Amino acid sequence: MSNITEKEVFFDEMTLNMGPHHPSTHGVLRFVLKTDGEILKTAIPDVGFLHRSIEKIAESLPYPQFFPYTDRVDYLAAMNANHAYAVAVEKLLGIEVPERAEYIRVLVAEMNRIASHMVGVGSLASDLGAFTPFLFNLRDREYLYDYLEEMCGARLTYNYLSIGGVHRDLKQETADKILKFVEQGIKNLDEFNRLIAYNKIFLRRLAGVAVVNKKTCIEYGIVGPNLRAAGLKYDVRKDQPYSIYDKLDFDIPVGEAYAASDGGVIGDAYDRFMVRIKEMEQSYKIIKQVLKEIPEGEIQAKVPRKLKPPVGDIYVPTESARGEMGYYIFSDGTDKPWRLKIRTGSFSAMSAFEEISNGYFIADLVSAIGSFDIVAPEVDR
Amino acid sequence: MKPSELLNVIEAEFGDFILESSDQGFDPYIVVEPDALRDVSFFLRDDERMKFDFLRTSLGTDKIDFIESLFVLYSYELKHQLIVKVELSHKNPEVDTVSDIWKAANWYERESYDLLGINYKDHPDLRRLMMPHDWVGHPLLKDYKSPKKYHGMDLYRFNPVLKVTKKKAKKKK
Repeated sequence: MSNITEKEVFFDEMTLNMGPHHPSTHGVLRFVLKTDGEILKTAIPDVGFLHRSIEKIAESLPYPQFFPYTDRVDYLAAMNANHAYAVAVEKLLGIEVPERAEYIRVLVAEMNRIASHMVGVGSLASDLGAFTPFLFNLRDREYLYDYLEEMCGARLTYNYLSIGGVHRDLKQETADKILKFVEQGIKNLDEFNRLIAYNKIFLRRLAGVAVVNKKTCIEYGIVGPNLRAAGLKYDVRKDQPYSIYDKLDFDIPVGEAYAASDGGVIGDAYDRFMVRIKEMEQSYKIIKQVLKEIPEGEIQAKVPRKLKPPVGDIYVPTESARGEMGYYIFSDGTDKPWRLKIRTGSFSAMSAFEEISNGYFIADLVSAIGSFDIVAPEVDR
Repeated sequence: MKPSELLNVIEAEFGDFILESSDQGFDPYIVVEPDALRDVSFFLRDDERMKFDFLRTSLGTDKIDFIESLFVLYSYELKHQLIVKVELSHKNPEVDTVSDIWKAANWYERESYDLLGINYKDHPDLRRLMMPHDWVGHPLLKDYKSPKKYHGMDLYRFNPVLKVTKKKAKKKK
């Protein structure tokens, strides 16, 4: 110990390692922290622990066989990842999806969005020491997963959507159960808010922490709830509508400095938390509409046995739980994609960390990671 | 702005540097001379008619004859989209970075460098992103062959389903 000089103790930058097995990093993320005492100078992310070369695998598989892999891109919102891929390939092939299938797709996508946000906000609370709200959310999520299991037979990785439709039809009894749960779910959301959202300690831990303004968001390409929390009203579902989102009535919640009473500003961690909560309300609203208006009919379009899209490239954005999820596909005219690239929300959020982590306490980094709702496999793919 | 008008404006400004442009496919795209990429990029970001402030994604593709580096741009304000492509030779895949123009490009370029070996000149921090730092080769190239071992760990496992005996498997290695 005597080797440390006074200069090193009081004036030097310290390099710390955080992760990949740190409990608050949700999966396997690693940060190299440069700190001045307790205060961060920068947090340099080190990713790639979950790199499974999904993009390389895609090049050797026919289009329909890639569906199970899209589940694994984002296991918390697998339906949304399914949906993104289906929309991209259908646009490439020019396939029209039957209306009933579109409604079922939106239904499952929104259910999965709620389930994903439940984990997002719940695990943020549990990172900050409040474990009970997390369990409340897990309980509700389990209901949603039960209904999804009834529809497609799996809990997490569904492989439910197919090119041109969905694999199984929605039964009336399942639809009734979901409708019943929606009423309960909205009540449970209030319960969750009473438990944690207006808790003084929670507010103080998040208000004014990891502020990302609109300009930084646009520069780094941060998307989804994180972008909307910074005050930019942009949602792919509204601005470049796909599926049947242009027929549905829902609002886009944006950050409004919800924690202003405790020193919060637009785009802080609390805004990101609150935007997710409000988005869940909107998703419940969408589910209600979908179940009310769902038409009878086919659930699968007629698709040729061997899919051979024309030569060309396409980029199709969709709105996943963690922001814009886009598939870039370059087709060379064969039944396999020549190049497939998945653009995810977590990747861009992660790339901005080096800049936005400057000037906060180490403990605030935990709330920052939680508030961005980063899922590691989405970063690495 | 309509895709055709968009392409007309860009062609009028940069004429010879735009090697190809089309709005007939799925998304409108332009192919830019690599040397002019930075000028075109600044124009696309700053011009009043363009205002491409959001870099959606950037990637590389191995197209056998050449390596393509492209990025997808979107304007939040004017709501139009454009794909900008650069064609690079296999021998020397080198192009100027745009990571100071759109900060989002920083990690995307690191990814392209990692997976395809595209060398982005003047990039502030060009390291491997996904693969381990001492990995050899660039996996997304079409002629890539994965190494048999990495630090003494086998990268291929004996597969009992395929009826190949262990001896034969060893011989194949």
